[in-house]
Amino acid sequence: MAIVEKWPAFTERFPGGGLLLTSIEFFLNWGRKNSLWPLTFGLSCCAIEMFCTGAPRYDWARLGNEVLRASPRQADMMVVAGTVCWKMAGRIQRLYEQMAEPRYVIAMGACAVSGGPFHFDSYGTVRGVDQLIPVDIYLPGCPPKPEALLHAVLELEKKIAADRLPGRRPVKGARP
Amino acid sequence: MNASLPEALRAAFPGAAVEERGGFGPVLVLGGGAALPEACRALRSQPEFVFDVLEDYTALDEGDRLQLVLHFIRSEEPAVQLTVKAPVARTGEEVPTLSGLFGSAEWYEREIFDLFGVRFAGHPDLRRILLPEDWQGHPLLKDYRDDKTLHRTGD
Repeated sequence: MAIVEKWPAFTERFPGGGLLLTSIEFFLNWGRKNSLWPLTFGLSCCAIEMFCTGAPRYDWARLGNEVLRASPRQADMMVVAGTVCWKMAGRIQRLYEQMAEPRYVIAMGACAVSGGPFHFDSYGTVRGVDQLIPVDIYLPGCPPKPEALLHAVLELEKKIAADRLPGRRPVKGARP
Repeated sequence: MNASLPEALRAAFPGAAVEERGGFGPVLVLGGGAALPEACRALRSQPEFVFDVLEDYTALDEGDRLQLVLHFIRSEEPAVQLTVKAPVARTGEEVPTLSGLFGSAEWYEREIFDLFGVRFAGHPDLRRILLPEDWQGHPLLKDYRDDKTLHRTGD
């Protein structure tokens, strides 16, 4: 009953679009963005802030990031929280490839974005996790506060909501 | 014991130099890496020393040579710290292992091998411990260069 009442509101968001296709796209994105499954995965100090964001005070389960999954097979969102060293690089790529599609990556903190304080003169640090895997959201900070990580998750949800099925034109003015 | 420790060291190791530093205990400078096992065995077992905890074991690159640096503490009163240094050649010299004497030395020696390239004779499992297994070179040597590192100084 409730979903039938909401139906016109959903369809009105896509004026002039094909009703069926628009609805599938909308409901796919709606389901995906409200049910992210993060991977239990932390590399260094940023992971402490990530665990804090998952704990009751900030509680990112409110945003649909329900529970940190211990297996990449059950996860579709990875927060790269911390310094990525070359020894970890192959493991990160393997974890990413094992995750369920469609999968999303947040690069959390200066180290995961660019190498951070280890950008220069470091033999062991990967200068940005985007050298290894595709990154959806870059979150700067050293480390970012839990509020910033919540903001990054909200931005990721906006990005997922603007996602298009293959062959569809992007929404005008939407985020890439 | 604290005041007489340098004298006891000089008496027990006539071939080595003993330096005194305020607050951190004396420094025993051995002639070379080959003297390490015998000296450590004496420091551990002789009743006037009983330095039975190898707290740290690392190395320094001094340009023309490497300096092995060991830190010992005692598990009994009085709590005294002792530093032992032993110079070794930069390349090619094999140093006898301490892993039979101190269990903690096994991983310390793997770390020194990994980062400085010092080979330890008699070590049970001398593999890289921190870097990936296929890493080339030993990055804490001052002349280490690779194509992945961005050097701010540009040299």
